Amino acid sequence: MWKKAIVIFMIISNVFLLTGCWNYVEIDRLINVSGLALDVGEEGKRYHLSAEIITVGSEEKAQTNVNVIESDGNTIFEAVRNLTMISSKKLYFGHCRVMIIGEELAKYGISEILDLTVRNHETRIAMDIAISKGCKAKDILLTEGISTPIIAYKIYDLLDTTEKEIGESPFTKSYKIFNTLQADGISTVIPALEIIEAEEKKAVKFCGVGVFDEDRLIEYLDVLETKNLSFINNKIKTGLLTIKADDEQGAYESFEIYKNKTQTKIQFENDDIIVNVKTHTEVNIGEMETEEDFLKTDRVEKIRQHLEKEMEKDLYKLINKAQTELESDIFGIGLQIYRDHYKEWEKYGKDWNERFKSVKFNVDCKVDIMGSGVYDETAKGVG
Amino acid sequence: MVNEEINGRQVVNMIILFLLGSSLVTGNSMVAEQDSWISVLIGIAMSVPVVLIYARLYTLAPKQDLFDLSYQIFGKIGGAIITILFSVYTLHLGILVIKDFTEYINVVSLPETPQLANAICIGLIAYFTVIKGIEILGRGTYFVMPFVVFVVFLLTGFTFKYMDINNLKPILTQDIGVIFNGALSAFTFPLAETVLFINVFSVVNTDKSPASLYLTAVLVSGFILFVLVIGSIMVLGFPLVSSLYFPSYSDVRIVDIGNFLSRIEVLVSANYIVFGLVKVTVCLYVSCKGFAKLFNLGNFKMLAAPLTLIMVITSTILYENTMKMFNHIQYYKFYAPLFQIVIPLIIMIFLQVKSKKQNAGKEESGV
Repeated sequence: MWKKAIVIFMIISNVFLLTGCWNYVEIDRLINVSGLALDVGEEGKRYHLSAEIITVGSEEKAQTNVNVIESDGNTIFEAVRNLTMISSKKLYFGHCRVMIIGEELAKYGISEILDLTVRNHETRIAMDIAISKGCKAKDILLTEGISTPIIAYKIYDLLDTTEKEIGESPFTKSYKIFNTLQADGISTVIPALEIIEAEEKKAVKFCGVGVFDEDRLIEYLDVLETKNLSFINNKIKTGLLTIKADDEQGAYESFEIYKNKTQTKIQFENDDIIVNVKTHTEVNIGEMETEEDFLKTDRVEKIRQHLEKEMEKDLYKLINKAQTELESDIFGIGLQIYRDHYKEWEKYGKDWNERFKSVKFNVDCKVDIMGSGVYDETAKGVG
Repeated sequence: MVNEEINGRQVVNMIILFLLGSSLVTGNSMVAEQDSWISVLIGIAMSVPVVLIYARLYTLAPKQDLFDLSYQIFGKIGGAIITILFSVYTLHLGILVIKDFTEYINVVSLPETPQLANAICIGLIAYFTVIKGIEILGRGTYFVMPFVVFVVFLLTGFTFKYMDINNLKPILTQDIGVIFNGALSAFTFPLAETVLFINVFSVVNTDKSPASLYLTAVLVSGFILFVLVIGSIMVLGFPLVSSLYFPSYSDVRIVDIGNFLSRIEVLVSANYIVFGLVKVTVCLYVSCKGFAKLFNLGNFKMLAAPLTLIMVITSTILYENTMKMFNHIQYYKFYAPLFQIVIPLIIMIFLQVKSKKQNAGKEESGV
């Protein structure tokens, strides 16, 4: 009887003793960090860290307050610790989804920054990384959100949508960037953001990608070039193709991409590396400014051929830029040789960046026009 | 003393959970980079003949554990030496496992909690299980096994979206020596650690052949290990995966489905801790038996408390830091085969010769 009572007492007392962790922190003692921005430090320090923090107000209306706090440090960790001196509460990085790296800092090198994101147990290794183009990373966090007050989450959504809509580059997650930075035969590209003025408010806009030589930022690609890059990398899911029409009026035509498949095959012919890029795109006519009837099949055929020609021209232009201007393998051709043709990689891989400049590209675009929306003709004024 | 008895399925479950206990640190079998999955396959292939040796031991001398056999064959002194070596190995393995898990808890979730606190919790559970009898563990595995397997495959399913088959290329370009090095890692840590079960099998009561039990267990856990390794490589890619301490934990951290199903790594942690408890308990049980045999104690359970204390305390002073621990694991594969292959093999050969002689003797006397 007594034994039973003692056992029951011990079980019940466990409820009180074992329900907390050693180093537990209540939610109101924590500040959630939603995004980080890193710049070159001020006052002689190496890093300047800005963090967007979310606190839940305890007033009658439970509203979320978004603030940006800043600090400096010689390491990022030190800067984080210095942030705590301002915030007065413990910072929690588990919900930090975005890290913006300032242009100036990115030119200096980003491997130490990525090292921290992967090493720390609290941060997500699938954080989104972006570069601030033409401004400090901090300023991006200080813009005003159009749809949500939390800028970092806005940027997260932004990168997510652009990836689907424009077919943006896939190298946004920190763990993937970590891999491409260390891999030979591929240059890292990271999405870039800039600030635009919209109705006297400052807003963030996606503006292409930054190209890296090893871990230093060297150049930017604009949105169109980024899209062409995605074409070559077979990362296009949906999106738009806008080209100048093949007639005297100089009108524009838009096509909606349904499906795209790009195949990159590499051939080796007496010391030459030949890359055959074949794209196959299925599009729908989205917007037309000509006055011709689509039902005439030869017209559709003409548009199709024109579109193929324009696409090839664009892709060649980007390839040319990569080989002559950027001098870096943003397409990951070297990585593909390493993976699929290992023997050749041992032969050519040593000074790949030099070798890449002499790689010959053959681009072949194939487009199928699947339909013309719900309307068969072009709207025309009845005259 | 209550008669200890566990059935065939329980022992299979136990071996599976025991072996997966080390899947946590499969990071160290990633030496062959993107070819690591081949290493794991070779490791599984290597472990098949070895577990057949263990099974043969049971057939030749059922109801006798490794310690009884070594005394029988090598006499008092030889038997004592082997018993000491093997018990210390087991104890050391238990310490390593506790250390692995406290380190894991420390690194990934509770950095400020002293490791001793976690070690005591693990040690207490192992202690009580051994005191209450190995059959408790057997029945416990019935309960957790479906959950554990479900979680492993659920997580593989979740990470499927993030897998990139290109991360496995180029295939077979690593040095063959490096691949075998990785295979040796997978073989010694964990697959051939099944050797401890020679001592557990002496209480198994089943109609099934021991070979089929051993093989089912090793193949199933080998398969799960293989899935975890190849999954981590495909999700994380190189060189990231080789520099992470706990790759299969990290690849789950990436999962983010529909913006709400994210950060489910706590499931992995829960799973690992179940594996780890089984492993620590088995190690404690076997080393208790070994030392009891050595000191000629009737009841091995009286050693449970002191050995638990040794395990818990040693685990906290064994390594200075995480890096040293992972460094040591690289050397484990060079001395572990002594216990995993050499000792069982020698005992098997002696038993085999002996039973042949006996058979021959019988036939002669019969004629």
